[in-house]
Amino acid sequence: MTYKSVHDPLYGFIDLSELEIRVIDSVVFRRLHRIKQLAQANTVYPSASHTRFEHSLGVCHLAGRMAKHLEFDDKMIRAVRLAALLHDVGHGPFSHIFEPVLSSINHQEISHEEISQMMITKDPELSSILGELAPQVVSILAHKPVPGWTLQESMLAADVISGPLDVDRMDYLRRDSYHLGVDYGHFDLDQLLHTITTTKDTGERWVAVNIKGWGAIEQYRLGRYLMHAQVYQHHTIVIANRMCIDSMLRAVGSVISPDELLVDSPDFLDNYTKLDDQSLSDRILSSDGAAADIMGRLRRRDLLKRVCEIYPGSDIPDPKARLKMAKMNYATQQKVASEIAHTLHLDEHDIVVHTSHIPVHHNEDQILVIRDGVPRHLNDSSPIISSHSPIDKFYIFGPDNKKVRDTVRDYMCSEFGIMI
Amino acid sequence: MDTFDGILLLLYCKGDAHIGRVALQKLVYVAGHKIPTLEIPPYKLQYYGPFSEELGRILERLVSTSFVSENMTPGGHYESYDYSLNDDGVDISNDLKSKPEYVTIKSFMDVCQETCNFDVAALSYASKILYLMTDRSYDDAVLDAEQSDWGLYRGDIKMGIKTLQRLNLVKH
Repeated sequence: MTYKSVHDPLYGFIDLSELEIRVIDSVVFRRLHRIKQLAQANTVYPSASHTRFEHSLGVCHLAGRMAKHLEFDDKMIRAVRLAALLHDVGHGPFSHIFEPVLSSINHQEISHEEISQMMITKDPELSSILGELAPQVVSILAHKPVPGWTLQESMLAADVISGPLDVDRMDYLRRDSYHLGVDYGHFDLDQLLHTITTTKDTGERWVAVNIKGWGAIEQYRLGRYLMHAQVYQHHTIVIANRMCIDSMLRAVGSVISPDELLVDSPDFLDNYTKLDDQSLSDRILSSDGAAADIMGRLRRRDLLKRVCEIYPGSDIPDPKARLKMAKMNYATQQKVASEIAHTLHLDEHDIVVHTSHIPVHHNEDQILVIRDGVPRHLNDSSPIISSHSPIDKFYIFGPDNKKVRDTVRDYMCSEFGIMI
Repeated sequence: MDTFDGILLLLYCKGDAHIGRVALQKLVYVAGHKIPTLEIPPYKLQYYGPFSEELGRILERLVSTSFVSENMTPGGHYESYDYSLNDDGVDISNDLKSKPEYVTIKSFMDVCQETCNFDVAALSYASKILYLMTDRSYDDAVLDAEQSDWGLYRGDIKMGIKTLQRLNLVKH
């Protein structure tokens, strides 16, 4: 039952229940007002200052619409909306780019999803507001069987929030486009939601789209590709985010005490929820050393420049060297950066190595389109994009001068056998 | 062994058999249970059983860096895709044959071919049962699969279990 309505630039009024308003007014949720959706994207798109707060409201609204369209009962709709509302509550400062910092401190991969689930069950205020709904919400977010629901209902609910055709992506593509002032991520949301269905006639129940939604789906996947190519993997945003990560990692041990952020520590949630974009960058800027230098450069938009950009798939002839580059992860990128910086007698943070991956169809593989009563993967019959490979780009960023460019060129020649 | 090398060796050992996108997802998932030293990325449950976005990304990277070919086969209602190694993929796999996992992967693929000929449905049922077994016993997983009205009918379960039994992943 609607208790309050709030205005949203994308959807007009969003109706919220009393329970949802209590969740929104909790300390951990209101903190999302201070965490930008796209971290350092405002280095390229000045108006990219929207936050996880409004995105969470949007996802809750869309989850309700989709759940109603799929004829969920009232109890399921309530739980799915709450799960959608809270799906990002575990984000740290600067959204996704805090995850490497938290993982580094804890010596294991830690995602914001895990922190969201921890907050829902362990934050005293939030868990008390949710009461017996907390385990249901956590199960939906964790893709686990929901207590008291059938497995079909559990998996379908999880699919609404995090699946090939989920409301999270539907909201952020359109919301990011709106706030950045670009048109790439727009698609026909009403048509898509109107044609959303499930695979119920085939035994299993998963989110799918009726054949009539084909055009909207193609628009959606094209929008996703363009947003990655033009925004999320824009080289300037990439380097700004990497410099921000570098600054935060260097702040660990001085500005950020590692003990504060050990997930097993009893004070972890208290310490974590005090952090947001502003509070952490202010703390870093008021310190001395490399972390403050890098954060200061970000403030001044004094960013490292591209000194190397290659397409590994076509630019590296030697298979072993190409596979070595294909396998690169954050740790091996750091090692390369460190080797180049050492040769140049530069500080390690003056060289950044990054591989950018622009998805073309990997996740859309699993979007199901119902044609003649049979669910089929979208890619199996889409004339658009499906036969194209993804786009990988390998970058090295550094100070823009001849010495750096020459050293990087020599390195790429000796390690990967290519001339740049 | 990392997932990149694992995929290359799985495709190397398949011979001339056709392995589609969905089947490959399930093969890696089941292989990860059979071969403890094979790293597999996180999986979530989706329509055709456990599915890993990360695995999809790795496979795409192997395609975009020209180790694996993605071949489209026209069909009556829809096209399908299958994967095979290209020349560079074969060269790398020949080097990987010296790794200790090679023998286990070869034997794993031989059993899968013999039992179900890499049939996507059989692999999907096998991987669903394995997925259910992650937080319950084998008996409970089979019972839940039967009772859940989750698209796993008795015959499907039998088909999945047969594959898992031949791989010694469940009791006889």
